[in-house]
Amino acid sequence: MQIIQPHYHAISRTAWDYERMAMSGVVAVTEPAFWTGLDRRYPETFLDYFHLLTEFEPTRAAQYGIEHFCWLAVNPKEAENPELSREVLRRMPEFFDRPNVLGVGEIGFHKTTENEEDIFSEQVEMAMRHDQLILIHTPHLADKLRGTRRTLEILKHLGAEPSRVCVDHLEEHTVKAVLDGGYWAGFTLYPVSKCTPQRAVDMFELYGRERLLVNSSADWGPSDPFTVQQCVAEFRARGNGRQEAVEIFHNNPCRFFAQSPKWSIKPIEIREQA
Amino acid sequence: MLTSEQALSRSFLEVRCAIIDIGATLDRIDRGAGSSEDDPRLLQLRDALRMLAEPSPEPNRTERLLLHFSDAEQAGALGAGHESRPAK
Repeated sequence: MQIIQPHYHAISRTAWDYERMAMSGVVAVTEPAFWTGLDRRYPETFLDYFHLLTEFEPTRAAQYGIEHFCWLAVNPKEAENPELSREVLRRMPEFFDRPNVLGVGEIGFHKTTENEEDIFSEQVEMAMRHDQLILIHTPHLADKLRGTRRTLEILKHLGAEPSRVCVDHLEEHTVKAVLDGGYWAGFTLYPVSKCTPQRAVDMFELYGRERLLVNSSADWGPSDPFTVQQCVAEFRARGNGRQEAVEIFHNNPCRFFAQSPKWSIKPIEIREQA
Repeated sequence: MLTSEQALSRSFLEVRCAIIDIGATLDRIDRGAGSSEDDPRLLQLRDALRMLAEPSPEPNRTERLLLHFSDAEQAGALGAGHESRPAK
């Protein structure tokens, strides 16, 4: 089965991931810009990271037959330094025309501070000015509810087009408000401590299958690039068909990302030969 | 041996996740077609959750849970002591 990984941090992973993902049917990944293990001190360090996302990673993924797309941002954690963030934002549009850039992300809240809110708002406005898609990080654990609520208030206030925004890392207590607002909703599946493949399938049953994206977890922490595949197995084990799985794990990402002219992969339909 | 605080810090997120998973599982059972209300396994799970929620006079919840999920006859035999087993 063909799968798209909508949220994959290749910078923190080895090529072994790419090889095994290719063997499991992954045809494309999209990589949001995020925290690279330390708080950066210079705007140029961010710009080098954007070079990595737009030059090196597509080449590395292509060696395994996987297409690599990316998002550019000052992540919520480093948005706590507004002076540095604004210097980066001044240069970020230089990268928007690169062939694998889908939009601005992941932006949003980490601890839901005023600085984070200012830089989040400025990045949403920049994305809207430059006709970029938006990918939003919501905080983990105890901060998630407050951060998600504030995210939705800000998006509404700024007039962001909901169909061009994905709000990510949702769980049972945050998904309904996001879908009701008309946004795309993302689930990120972890091997421990956060949302699981089983709970994601529960949420399909509760909230439908439209405007949903499902991510494996692939970052610096305890994470596993194959939790999406576990979710496919759980979904199929509950009696759902192959095409239904393709709709969620391949075609839904295609539909969201295809709002960017850079996205090249079409939805697919399984047809049995006569 | 870990201090009590260390044990809590190391396990908090995993236990939080496990409790949420239990909630999701019970929701799934309730949502499914038909009813499992009278299924003895569900009653056994609910009793086990009650055991977890109550204060424990000594830190032996694990053993008590395992006995709870054991076949009653075997649990009784073990509870009576190993000396009741026939010698080989």
